[in-house]
Amino acid sequence: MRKPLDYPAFLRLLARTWNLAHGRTQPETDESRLEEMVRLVASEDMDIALLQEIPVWGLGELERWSGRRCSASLQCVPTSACSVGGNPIEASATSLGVDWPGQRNSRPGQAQLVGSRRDIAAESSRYAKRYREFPRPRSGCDKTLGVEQTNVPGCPSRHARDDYRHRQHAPVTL
Amino acid sequence: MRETTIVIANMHLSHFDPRLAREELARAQAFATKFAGAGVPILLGGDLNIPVTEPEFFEPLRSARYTQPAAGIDHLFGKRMTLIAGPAALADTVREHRGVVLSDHPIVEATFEVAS
Repeated sequence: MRKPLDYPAFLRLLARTWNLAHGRTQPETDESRLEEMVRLVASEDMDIALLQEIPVWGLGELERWSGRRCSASLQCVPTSACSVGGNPIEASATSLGVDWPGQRNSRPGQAQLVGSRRDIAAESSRYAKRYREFPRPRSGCDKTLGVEQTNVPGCPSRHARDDYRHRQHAPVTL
Repeated sequence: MRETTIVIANMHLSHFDPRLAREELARAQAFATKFAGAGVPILLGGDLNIPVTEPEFFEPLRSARYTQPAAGIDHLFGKRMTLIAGPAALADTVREHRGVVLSDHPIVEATFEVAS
């Protein structure tokens, strides 16, 4: 007797990309809407999210925000981060007293990151991430995945970086 | 357990000069290709700051058999995967929240199918 297939032959992925513009809005307000943005992008059937212009202060909150009310919660792996000290253009503009809107929001530092569904395991490189898809079991049993995160280059916040390393090394229980 | 590996490259390219963004895109494409190795699907995207009105900038991706660009400057390209829907920007109304529109960029979405 032929054994039935356990998993589909094709994997379907819903991918999103979004520049979060440091939580800014149109029209601009005084408060950041970063939390609402993360909830929005992680909603529904999202599998993978490519996010840009995330303020470094928000990195430690993203997973918590995305998991609070969303059907899909994110595991986040920063792909790059920079601060004023690492950005000579910004430093020059600041020293000259130039209000350069395109660089203004780099002052608190910004990051790009890849988020994914929690049952996708991430293996990081400095510039790219290798993702391994673990097929969902047919039954509703729990499973544990190890998520590896290394090398967050240039992150200005030691606390944020260490926090991420700690959490990304911890196994994720679904 | 069967696994499917996908390499994802997320970018925010320079906005000062599209030619600079094109060079950065070429470097990212080369890096992702080398990182992925033979036969591994690649998802390459982000805020490329290259509009679709500059089709020659996307020629290296097209030649390398990546999927088609989106309409704006935010893109999702797949290689060794089938584009099922998109890439398309979601309506601005999706980003409306308490009387404002979130971000000055749209959410761009695409659905791909990868052999597993």
